[in-house]
Amino acid sequence: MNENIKEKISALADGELSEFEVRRVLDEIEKEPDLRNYWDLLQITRRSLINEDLGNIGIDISGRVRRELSGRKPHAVKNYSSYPSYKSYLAATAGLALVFGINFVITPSYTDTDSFSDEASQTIANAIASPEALEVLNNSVMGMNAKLRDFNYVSGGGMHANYVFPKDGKKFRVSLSPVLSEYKVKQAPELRRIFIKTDKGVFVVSVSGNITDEKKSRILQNANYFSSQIK
Amino acid sequence: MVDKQSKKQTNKEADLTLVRRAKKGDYRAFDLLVLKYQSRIVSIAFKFVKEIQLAEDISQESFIKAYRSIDSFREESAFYTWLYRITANTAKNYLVSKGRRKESSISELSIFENEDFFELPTNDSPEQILMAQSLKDTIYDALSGLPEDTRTALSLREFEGLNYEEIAEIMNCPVGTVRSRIFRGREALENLISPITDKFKVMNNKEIV
Repeated sequence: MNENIKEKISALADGELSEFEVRRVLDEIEKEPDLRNYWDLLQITRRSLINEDLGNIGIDISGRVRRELSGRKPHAVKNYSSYPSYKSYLAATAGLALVFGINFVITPSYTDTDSFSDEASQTIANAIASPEALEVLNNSVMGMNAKLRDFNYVSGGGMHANYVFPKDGKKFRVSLSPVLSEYKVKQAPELRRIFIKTDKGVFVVSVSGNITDEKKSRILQNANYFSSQIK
Repeated sequence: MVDKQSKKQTNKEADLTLVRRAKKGDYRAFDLLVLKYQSRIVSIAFKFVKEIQLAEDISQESFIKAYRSIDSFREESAFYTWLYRITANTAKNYLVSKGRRKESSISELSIFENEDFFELPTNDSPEQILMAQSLKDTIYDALSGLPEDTRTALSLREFEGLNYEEIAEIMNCPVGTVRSRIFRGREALENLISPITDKFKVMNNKEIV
């Protein structure tokens, strides 16, 4: 583990990081699970030092909390048909294992005309049709008080969900698409996206609409975070 | 010697950076708060329901309620105090819904709310209680063996509740040096206690990554 990041985590535990640094540290923890364990160990060390009671320190309910907040139930229903309706998916929201294991996110290095093989594209298109893939969209707006307006599958194996913030009426769209052969990503000025590489191929999560860039970044980070947690 | 109020204030501020990130929808920040407080919250719930599985369920629900209503946390109290109240209310509601006689009176528990740290009930076996004591003994032995500068910085932070700037002033060194010394001190202690905490995790079936 990177000593510099660990030192920053130590400072985070003391509330001694700037907001910018906090974001950077959270990004690092997201990428490196051992750093999350380091945070856990740090808390135990501090409690030991100040002679606080150490009861139940081995218990871990963090995974259960995360799954519940992301709309999944701990005991999965694994059989599902392809292309389910979104509402039935929401009712069922289940399944711990992704059809594809998401490995990491590629942000800046792709150009609009990056291409992949047809076979890989078909595989990722199939993966996107799964209920688990829908969770990527569902989780992306978690904690943002956004309301789902409608949801559609689109030609080429992608899908998108339209949301609104009831508080101010601002609307936005989150899309999940395979990167097709000779695929050209529409580069609307308000659109932000990430490429997520999986063992089945690469797909794109994008956000558009009249919401702030910070919210768009948050949505993309959420999509990546929850995806990387369930392999 | 810094008074207890100052120490509580420092602990409160330590959580606020994460709370504010969570308010912006950053679940990763909330996840760290869950890791930090989960065992204490389970212990509080256990005090009410006396069954560890139920206590875990109530704790899970409490964290979920906290995240969903985190915008309503006005930062006037410590995050832990707010979380404590949510947990106590969730447990009380559970007992009422099940028609159970209260296992513990609310007044008995409410005295804890003004304290930062207190002895919580646990489901730990005698072996786990002994291991916890062993952990503390190990920490204290290791602390006394740290280089003086490191030990002083760490002690001022953990026992006196001073922030880095205050410690830097006392030790007459840059804030960055304080940060580094505190980190090095913790690192030395963690290397010693890591094998013991792994045993705790195995006992509680906690996954070790």
